[in-house]
Amino acid sequence: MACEICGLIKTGKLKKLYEDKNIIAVLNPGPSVNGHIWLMPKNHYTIIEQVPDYIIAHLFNMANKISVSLFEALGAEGTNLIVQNGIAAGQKHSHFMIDLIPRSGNDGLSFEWQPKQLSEEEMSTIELRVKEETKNIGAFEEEKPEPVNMDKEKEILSDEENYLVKQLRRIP
Amino acid sequence: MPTEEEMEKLKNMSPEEIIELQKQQCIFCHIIKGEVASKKVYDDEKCIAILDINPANPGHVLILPKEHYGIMPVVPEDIIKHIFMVAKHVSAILLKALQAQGTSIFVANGAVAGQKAQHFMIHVIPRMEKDNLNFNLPEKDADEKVLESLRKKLYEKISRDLKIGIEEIPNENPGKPKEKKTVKKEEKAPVKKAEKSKKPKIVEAEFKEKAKKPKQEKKKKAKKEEEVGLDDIADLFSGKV
Repeated sequence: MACEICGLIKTGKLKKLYEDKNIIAVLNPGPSVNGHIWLMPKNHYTIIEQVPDYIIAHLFNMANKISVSLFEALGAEGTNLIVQNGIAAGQKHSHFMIDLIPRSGNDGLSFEWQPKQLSEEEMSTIELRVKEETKNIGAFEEEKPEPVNMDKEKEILSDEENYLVKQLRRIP
Repeated sequence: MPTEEEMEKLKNMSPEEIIELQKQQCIFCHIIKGEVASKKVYDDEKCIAILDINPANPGHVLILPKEHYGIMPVVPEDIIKHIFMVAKHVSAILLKALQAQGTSIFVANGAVAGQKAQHFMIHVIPRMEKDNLNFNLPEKDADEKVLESLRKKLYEKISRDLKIGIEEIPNENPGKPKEKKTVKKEEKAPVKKAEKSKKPKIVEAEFKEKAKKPKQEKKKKAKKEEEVGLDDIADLFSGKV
């Protein structure tokens, strides 16, 4: 199924605030508050688990920098970064994104929660299960160097090949 | 509330001393040092992950930089990058190990945003359908003009802050600025068109003449032809010809 967000990125219909090779930051067309921003990878990923580590690092680093700009430009007193990862978490678009929301005193938003009461046993079970899996966290995926030079070399090679092939044809 | 005497003390403290005091009073710094018990699920040289003792849902994880940072803007770039990559992997683990149906990754930056502790952290919360948590973002209709003026303001501000050249501000508004441009283009367009329409003919003619020669030479000639063409156009525009 075609992704609505990918379409919007390609057609340039979004209000762009920042863009580089991998990511884009735009104004949310249906903002919760004034200055509500989406940061997202330009390539299509549905959930965070699919996004390469280095793009995650870059996206959140930019979210932090843009937060600071929002403090000054909009007089925001704080920001929220929210990722809704999966439909159960309220994800509305099938394109991974970070919601960056500038906050002020009376903006009507609230992301508070009532703490759930868990027994010591329940907490320990969760601890063990999660701890078992986190052993594998370590080597993070880095960006691969650009293959531009390789392409250039290939082009030269193919030209040479053509030339050689022609020479061969002429021999008889 | 601090007493007057304490306030007086605070006033006379250097920024370093104040940070030191914050560290001494920060419960999470004590947890990181191991002075307060916690359910630690991950630990590396830059950060730790613990279970929140007041979880929004079972399996609610907090990821904390080991160094004390009160708010996100003061956290160094390498730490930001590292802890959010850890958050991504913790999210994947919660889906797998706890069979969560989704996760909410939440950062409250500042008291109005709901930040409770003076130690920067990321919340990774396992989600289940109908779990009654509210991280929903209401969508409001925004006026096109309001959005566009906001975009200009923020684009300039962000570009300046990131030290990006802002000479190329993309204009998606099909209003007045574009009309001005098209008027300018119309003035110069005939010259450009004439130049363009001439050029291919010459190239084509030359191609026909040299059709018997190898392809590589053709390419070179074509390139030269283009270069001359561009210079000519430039001269025309600057009024030299």
